[in-house]
Amino acid sequence: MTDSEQLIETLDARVRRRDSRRTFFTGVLGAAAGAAVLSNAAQAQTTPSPTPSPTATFTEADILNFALNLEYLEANYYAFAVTGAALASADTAGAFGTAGTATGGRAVTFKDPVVQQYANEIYQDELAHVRFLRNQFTSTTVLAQPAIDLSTKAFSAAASAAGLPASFDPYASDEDFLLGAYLFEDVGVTAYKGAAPALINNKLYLEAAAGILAVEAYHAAIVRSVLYRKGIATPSLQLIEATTAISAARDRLDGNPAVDLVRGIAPSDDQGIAPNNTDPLAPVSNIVPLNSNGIAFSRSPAQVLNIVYLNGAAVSSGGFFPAGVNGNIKTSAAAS
Amino acid sequence: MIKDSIFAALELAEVRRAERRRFLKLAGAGAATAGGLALLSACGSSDDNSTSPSPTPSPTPTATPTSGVSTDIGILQLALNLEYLEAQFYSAAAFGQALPAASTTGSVGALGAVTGGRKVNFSDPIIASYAREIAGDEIAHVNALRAVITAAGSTLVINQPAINIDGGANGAFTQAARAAGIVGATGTFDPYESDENFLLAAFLFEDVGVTAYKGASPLIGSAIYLEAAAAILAAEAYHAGLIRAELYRLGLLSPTTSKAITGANAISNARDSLDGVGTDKLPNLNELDEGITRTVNGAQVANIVPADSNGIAYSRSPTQVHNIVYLNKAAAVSGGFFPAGTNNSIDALRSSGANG
Repeated sequence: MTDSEQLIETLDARVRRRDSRRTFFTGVLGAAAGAAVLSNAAQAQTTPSPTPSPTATFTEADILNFALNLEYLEANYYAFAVTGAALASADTAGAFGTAGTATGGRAVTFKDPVVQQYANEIYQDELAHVRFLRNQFTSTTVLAQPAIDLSTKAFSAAASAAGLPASFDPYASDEDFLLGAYLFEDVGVTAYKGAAPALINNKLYLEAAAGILAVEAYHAAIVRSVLYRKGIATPSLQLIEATTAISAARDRLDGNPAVDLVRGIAPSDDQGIAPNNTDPLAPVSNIVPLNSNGIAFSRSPAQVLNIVYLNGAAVSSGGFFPAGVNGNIKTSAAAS
Repeated sequence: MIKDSIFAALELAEVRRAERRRFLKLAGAGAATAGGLALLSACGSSDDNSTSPSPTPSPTPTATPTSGVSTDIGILQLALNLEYLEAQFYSAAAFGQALPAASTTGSVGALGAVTGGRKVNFSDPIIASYAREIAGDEIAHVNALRAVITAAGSTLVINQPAINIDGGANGAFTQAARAAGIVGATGTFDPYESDENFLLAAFLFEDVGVTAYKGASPLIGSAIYLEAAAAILAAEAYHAGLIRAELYRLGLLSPTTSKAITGANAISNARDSLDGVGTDKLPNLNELDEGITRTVNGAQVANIVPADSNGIAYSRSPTQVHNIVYLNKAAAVSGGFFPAGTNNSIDALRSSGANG
C-alpha cells in the first residue's frame, strides 16, 4: 500500500468512525430514518422540529442561572481537589432558590506536578465563572448554590452508569481526578453551545457565554489530552477505555434527539478519546469531539440535567444535585 | 492527482454526502433569518478598536459585488479565509498535501496559490496523531463553511486567497518568528523542521481562531449561523488547549534547551503588540493574549487557558485578526500569511486596524 493510499484510508476511517455512530442511529430508528433524513431536513426549515429546544421559552436570566448551577458544580469539584474544601459561602449564598452545601469531596494528593498545575488553573477559571455569573445579578436576585454531592457515592453511580467498576473515587489519584474532570468538562462545552442561540438578543451575554464556552473547551482539551498520553503510556490503567465508557453513558442519558449537523445535535454524539488504531498509516487521535462538519456538539439544558442528575428520564433532582438545581430550568428531558 | 483523491475519498463517503446536502438545506434556512448591517454597531464587549476609523480598502482584484451582502455572509467569508490558512498549514504538516481545487475555488476575490509547506517528520507519534486529527478538523471547517456560504448564494463563496506558509527565510513564519524574537533578525524559522516548531506554528494560529470567532459572535444575526460559529469556536479552543498543553509539557521536559515555553510566550507578546489596544470596557487594556505560563509568587505556573479575570476568553475584532495574519500593526489589506490579502465581499472585512 502506498503512502497516499494509506492516507486516504486514514482520513476515510476517521469519517467512518464518526459516521458509524449515525449509522447505528439509523438502525435504531428503523427504515424511516435513513432515507427520510433529507426530507426531514427540508421540513425543518418551515415546520417546528419534532423536539423543539426548551431554551426558547426561557429568559436570558434563566439561562445564566442554569449555567451558574453547572459552574457551582465544577468549581466545587476543583476546589475540593485542589484545596480540600468547598467554595466559600461568599461565593455560594443567594436569595433565589434553596441553598445547599457541597459535600463529599477532598483534596487530591497529586503525584504529577503538571496535573496539579492544571487542576489549580482550571479551579481558578471555574471560580471566576461562578463570580462572573453571580455578578450579573443583584444581592436580591442572585441564585443560591443548591446542594451538591461530590462524594464517591455520586461518582460511583456515574461509574456504574458507564459500566465501569462500581466504586470510583475521583480524589484517589491523578488519573482518577482527570476522569472525574472528564465527566464534567465536555458537558460544559455542549451546555454553553446549546444555550448560545437563546442569548442572541443580548450581545453582551452572548459574547460572554462564547468566552466561557471557549474556556470550557480549553479545559476539556487539557483533560482529554493528558488522559490520552497517560493512557498510551500505561495501557493497564485503561484510561482511554474509561473515557469511551463515560461518553457512551452520557450518550445514553441524554436521549436520542433528531440529527442536526449544523447545530451539532445527534442521538449518539459524545465521543471518548480512543484513537483509530486499525488504520495502517498511524493512529488519528480524538482529542476534539466533533461531527463530520468539524463542529462541536450541543446539548439542551434538559439534556445536560439528564447527565448531572444521572437519570435518562424527566426528573428534577438526583446524581450530583440531590435536591435538584435552582432556578427555573430544573427538569431533565424525558427518555427518547 | 493523488492529492485530489484523498479528499475525493472523503467526499465519496455516502453518509457524508447525505449530511452535506442536509447541511446545505439547513444553512439555507439560516440565511432567511440573517441579520443586517446594523448589527455591526451592536458590538457588545468586544475590543473593537472603535477610536480608529476603518482604513480605506483598496479595490478588490476582481469585479465582485460589494453591496447587498449581509454582514453574516461577510463574517462567514472572513472565517473561511482563516480556515483556508489553517487547513493548508495542517494538511501540509500532517500529510504533505495541499487542499484540492474543489475545496479552494469560489467566485469572490482572486484565487491564489499556496507558497511553501511540507510534511513534518514527527519524532513523537502522539504529536503526529494530533496533527492528523487537527488537519482533518480544519479541512472539515473549510468544506462546512463553503457549504453554508454556498447555500446562501452560490456566487458568495470566496476563492482561496494567496497563502504563504513557507518555512524558508522569506516565509511568513520566519517573518513572525523574527518579530517575536524566536529567531534573530536574520534567522529562519521552519515550522516543518521539528515537533516543537510545528507546535509553535500551530500555536500562532489557534488562539487567533478562538478570539476571531468569539469577537465575531455578536456580529452574527442568524441563530443558526451563530450556533455553527459557536461550534467552530469550540473546536478551535479544543485545538488551542491541546497545542498549548503540549508546548507546556515539552518545555518542562527540556527546560534548558526547549523553546516551547519561551517561544510560545514570545509569540503571544508579538500578537499583543500587533493587535493594538482594547477598549476601556475590558479590565485588560492591552492584553488580548496570554502565553502558556505566568508567574505567581515568583514561581512559574501553567497558563494553558488564556482568559481574563472573569475566566472568559478574549475577543478580537475582524481588523485585529487581520493585524495578526498580515503581521502588521498598521492598517493594511495584505501581508504576512496573506500576501495578496484576504477575500471578502465586504471590503471593510479585508483590512487590518491602524494600531500604530
